[in-house]
Amino acid sequence: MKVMMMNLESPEDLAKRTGPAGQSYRDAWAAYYQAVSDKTIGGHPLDTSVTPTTLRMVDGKRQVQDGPFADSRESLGGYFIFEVDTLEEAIKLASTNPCLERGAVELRVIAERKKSV
Amino acid sequence: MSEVRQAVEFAARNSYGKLVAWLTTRCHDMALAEDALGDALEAALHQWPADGVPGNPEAWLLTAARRRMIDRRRRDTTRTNAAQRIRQEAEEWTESPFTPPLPDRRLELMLACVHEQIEPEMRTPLMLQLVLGLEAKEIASAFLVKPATMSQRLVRTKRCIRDAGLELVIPENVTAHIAPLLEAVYAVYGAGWQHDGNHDGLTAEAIFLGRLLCDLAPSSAEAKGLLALMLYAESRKEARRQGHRFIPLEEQDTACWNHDLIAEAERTLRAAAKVSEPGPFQLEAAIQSFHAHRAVSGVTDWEGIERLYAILAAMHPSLGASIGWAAALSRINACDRGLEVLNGLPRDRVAHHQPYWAVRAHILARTGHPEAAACYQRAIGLTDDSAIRAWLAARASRLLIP
Repeated sequence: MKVMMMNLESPEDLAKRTGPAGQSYRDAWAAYYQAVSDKTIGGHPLDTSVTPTTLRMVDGKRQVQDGPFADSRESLGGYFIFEVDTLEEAIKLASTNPCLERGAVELRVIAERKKSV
Repeated sequence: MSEVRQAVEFAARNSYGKLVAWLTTRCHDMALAEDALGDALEAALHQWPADGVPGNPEAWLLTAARRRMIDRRRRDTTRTNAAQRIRQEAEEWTESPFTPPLPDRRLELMLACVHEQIEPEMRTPLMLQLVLGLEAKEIASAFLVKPATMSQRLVRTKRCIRDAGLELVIPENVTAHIAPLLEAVYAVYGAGWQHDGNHDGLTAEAIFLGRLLCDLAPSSAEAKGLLALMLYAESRKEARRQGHRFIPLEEQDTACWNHDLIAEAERTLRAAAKVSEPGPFQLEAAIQSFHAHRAVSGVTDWEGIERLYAILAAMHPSLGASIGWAAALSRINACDRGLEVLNGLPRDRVAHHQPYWAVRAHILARTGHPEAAACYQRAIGLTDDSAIRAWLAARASRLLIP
């Protein structure tokens, strides 16, 4: 099965993407990437310096807005796609995600395309 | 209100397993017994503030739970058509009022939790729920499982036990059947230890269960060995942290160890030795006893520790035993042999096993092998605790200094 892991990073952690104070956080990420590499089949870090853009319909009119779809303290800083046998395996992989200490991760099972008979 | 809540919580903590065991022996349905007890605890929260906490809360809860069970069964009779039998059972219960002391059938209940028909991975969760009354979501967090999944599995397991008609009995030779039970209790401790800080309560629960087992199965040397092992580990809990810094065993200030717990562990281990029935938990406890002795002698007897690990790995092979042995070998200048032990472990089982990579990194670092850095990286990537990550990173950075 394929599972998407979304890294919901805290503002404090996002600030560590640059600068000397964030070195250990970046090192932790480098080690994490490597440790889960054999189960990772995709994913990207996101450029959080650019404000997200949200499109939605308001009173029947299309509206383009600055900002994320849902407001929360954490922001989506990146995502992984894991290929695993069970959801538990993905939870185990997620349990050492460096953003967990101050943020959160969300796991989503990717829908399998049904084979036509 | 908070006093009453405390009284209810106290009764729940101390009596939960006892009452579930007792109710299950009557109705042969753990899930029903638990539901009824849950209702009784709920009723206590409502009634005790008005009527005062009863003199014998356990008896009160049992009576209330029994009534609930009879009510539920009556409702079910229309469906099952076993009205006659149930009515008889109900009358029998009402006629013979419970008189204390309640026989403690928790050992039977715990043995049922680790019955060979029950999936090994469900044994510990089932025990935590039935004996201690932990909720599925707490158990799920400790074992990294989705809460809804854990809840479903627990329900399914209890249904299997009911359908299989498992009886709560003590087998003739308790010591022969106790091994999986000890494993299950140790898994509780492991879950609490691994996530220390987050699941603080679980190590205490495990020690509670360990003490209970020593009481209920006094002839088992291994039960004592397990309790001693957990007490040694617990004695170093405070010393493992200095603020947010992780302090490894060898660098811990022995003054920060809990010497009361160490003394209790020593007594328990000596009592186990008197039974003359050696086993893996007593060996592991003996290894911890060697570490604890540093508080007295000021040095660690690595030769002694290595010998014990060699016996443990030979008699009761496990990943933990091999990794511990490898680490001990590296301390007596036998890094090559330590590496051999690590190389002999199955690749697929160690690929994501943090202790393996940490020990491998330490041994390679000692021998000045260039792959040490990569192993540290791997260990860091598999660590869920930022204090330990920082400590490993500091170790790795020392490699760069000639």
